[in-house]
Amino acid sequence: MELSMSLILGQLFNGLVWGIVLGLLAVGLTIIFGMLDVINFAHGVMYMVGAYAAFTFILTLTGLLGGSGASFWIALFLAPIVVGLVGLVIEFFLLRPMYDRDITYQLLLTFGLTLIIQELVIIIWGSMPMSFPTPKILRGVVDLGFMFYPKYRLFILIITPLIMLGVWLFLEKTKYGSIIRAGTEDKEMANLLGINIRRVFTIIFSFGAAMAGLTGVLAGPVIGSLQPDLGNAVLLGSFVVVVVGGMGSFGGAILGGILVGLTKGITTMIWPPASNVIMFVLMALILVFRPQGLLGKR
Amino acid sequence: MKRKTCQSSLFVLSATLFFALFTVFFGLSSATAADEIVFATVDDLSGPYAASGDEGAKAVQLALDEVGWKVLGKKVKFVKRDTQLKPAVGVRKFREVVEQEHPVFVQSGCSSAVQLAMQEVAADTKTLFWTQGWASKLTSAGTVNRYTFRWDSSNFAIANSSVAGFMKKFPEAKTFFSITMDYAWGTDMYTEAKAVVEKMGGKMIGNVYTPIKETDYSGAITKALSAKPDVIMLNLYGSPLIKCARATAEFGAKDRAKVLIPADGLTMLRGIGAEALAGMYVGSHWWHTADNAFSKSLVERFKKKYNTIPSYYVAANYVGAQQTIQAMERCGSTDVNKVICALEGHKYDGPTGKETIRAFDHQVVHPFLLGLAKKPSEMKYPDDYLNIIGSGEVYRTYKQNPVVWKLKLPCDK
Repeated sequence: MELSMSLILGQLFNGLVWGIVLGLLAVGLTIIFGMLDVINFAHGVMYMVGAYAAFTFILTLTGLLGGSGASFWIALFLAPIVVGLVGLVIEFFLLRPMYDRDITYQLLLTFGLTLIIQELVIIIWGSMPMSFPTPKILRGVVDLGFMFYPKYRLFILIITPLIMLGVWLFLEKTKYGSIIRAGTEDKEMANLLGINIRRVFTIIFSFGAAMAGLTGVLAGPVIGSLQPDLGNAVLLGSFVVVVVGGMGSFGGAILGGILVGLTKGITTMIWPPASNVIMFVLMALILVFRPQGLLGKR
Repeated sequence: MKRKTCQSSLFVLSATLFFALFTVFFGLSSATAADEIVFATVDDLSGPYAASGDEGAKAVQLALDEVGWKVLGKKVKFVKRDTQLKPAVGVRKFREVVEQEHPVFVQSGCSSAVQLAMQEVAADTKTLFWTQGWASKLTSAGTVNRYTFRWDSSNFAIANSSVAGFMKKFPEAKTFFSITMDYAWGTDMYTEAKAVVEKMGGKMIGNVYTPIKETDYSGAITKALSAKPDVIMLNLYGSPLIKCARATAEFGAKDRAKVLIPADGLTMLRGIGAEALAGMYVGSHWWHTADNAFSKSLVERFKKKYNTIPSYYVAANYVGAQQTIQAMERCGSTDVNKVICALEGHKYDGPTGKETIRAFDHQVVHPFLLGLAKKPSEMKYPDDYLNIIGSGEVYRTYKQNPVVWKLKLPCDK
């Protein structure tokens, strides 16, 4: 198969889109791990609930407002809030008692939540695939010169780094962000200085969940058809990204996402059957040569 | 000491009695009563084809509704098992349901790979087996057995109806690029389609195999588009087809090539969505607008019971169950050998009109349709996806498929 410019660049773009979505998901995961020391297996279902909630919002709003023009953007705002609330409830009632216990309790809890939430999604929405509409202004393709590329995918490539930048600015430049970082560095000291650590943890977890939900909404048009097993495939990928980039590292999540995405894109071109496995090979290499991840500290 | 021994032996006695009653009671309620017969669905009830598997089970139950869940005076029990899209699991569940329930009818069909494996169990356990898998091999000499019947068209028939029909309508479309699911059905469909394309003067300029569980088809589409074919053919089914068709539309492929989906089901069209589907050429075993009494009645009853329009998979499995019930009534027995004889060669009014259950390979012969997906503005109701623009009925003849039954029956001439 001759490797034309359009093919190469096209595959790289495809890989990048996929990788950057994983990266955004990994950012939420790594924040929760970095701050709370919790490995959130339920992150995948949060992503899925975000997509499903947005789907329902779009459906209802389209009925009220007509045309899935504004309804997608409203859903983009509302759905993560819904998921954030779900995260809040989970953290407050279920996760809090587990902080002082062995890490296995948290793993079991978040894993169990995955199963429960997945079944709840089936009960509420059914298991039949449902078609997620692309917002009107972003339908169609753009002529990039070397190939035509879907507008919506380009949108993802632009908006996701902006979101990541926003989160980074919040953590680095705002007062609340510094409180969060202080809590990570030294829980006890922050507590002694009068910071309500328990509240900070709740906010962080629901924020991470909201980010997962946001990723779900953004990914909705690209996924195309929603099914209750959405969370599983993407969860695995996001964990790989976190390991590759370094657990707890914000920059690592982004870098890991880009790396995993580009690797997949290149592999799809050269040797397609390996494209789904290559990220695990990458993870294995990182674990052998740099186990703390590319930008990891611990 | 004596009291303690007395107490403990009393305990042991009552525990044993309790367990004995428990087992008997439980054993009784799960075993089939003597005057009961069992119809079973052993199909993909979870995973990428779950939507279809679920429809198949519903179809069998609808057929049983029609006869008041009684055949030859015996009550009918319906059970289902999930093959999880894995041949090994399908084989295991088939054997399990035979051992536990002794069904007189087993329906399956989503995945050809699973069907090929399950077919052998049907012969092994001498169970009547209606399959809707499309791999041509399922009714081929050497692999088919006398216990197996199929309503769905084989890949050979599909290719010679929808692909051939398409090429006749568009003789200027010469170059084809296909995206194919990498497993038994996909590869078989690709082979049959390629043969038809080449037979009719076209050329298959490329093909991409995608794993069954693949969710991201951007790579495959990009490859297809860079080859600049006249036609992009999607040899996929279930949720992979949904994702691939949507990606095809997303990348603007419809403006640069014709898109042909040789075969699919209504559940998939719903998943793809009218916007993405519009303008694609879509083959189908049956469409719910079929203008005959059977179809009208089936659509009405399915809608009434399940609140949704049925896909071809419902029609296929409904007919299989219905014909089996009627065959049992005809020969006055549920004995599998007699039922086979009653089914072979039988002609009846089915979903596509007059249909015949061919005696020599147990394939039901009927037309296969080609449709063109409407624009959303042309649709009169949510499931109004297709305009049927053609049909074909080309099956392998006895010469092309010389089946010889291993099982000899009294009805052999």
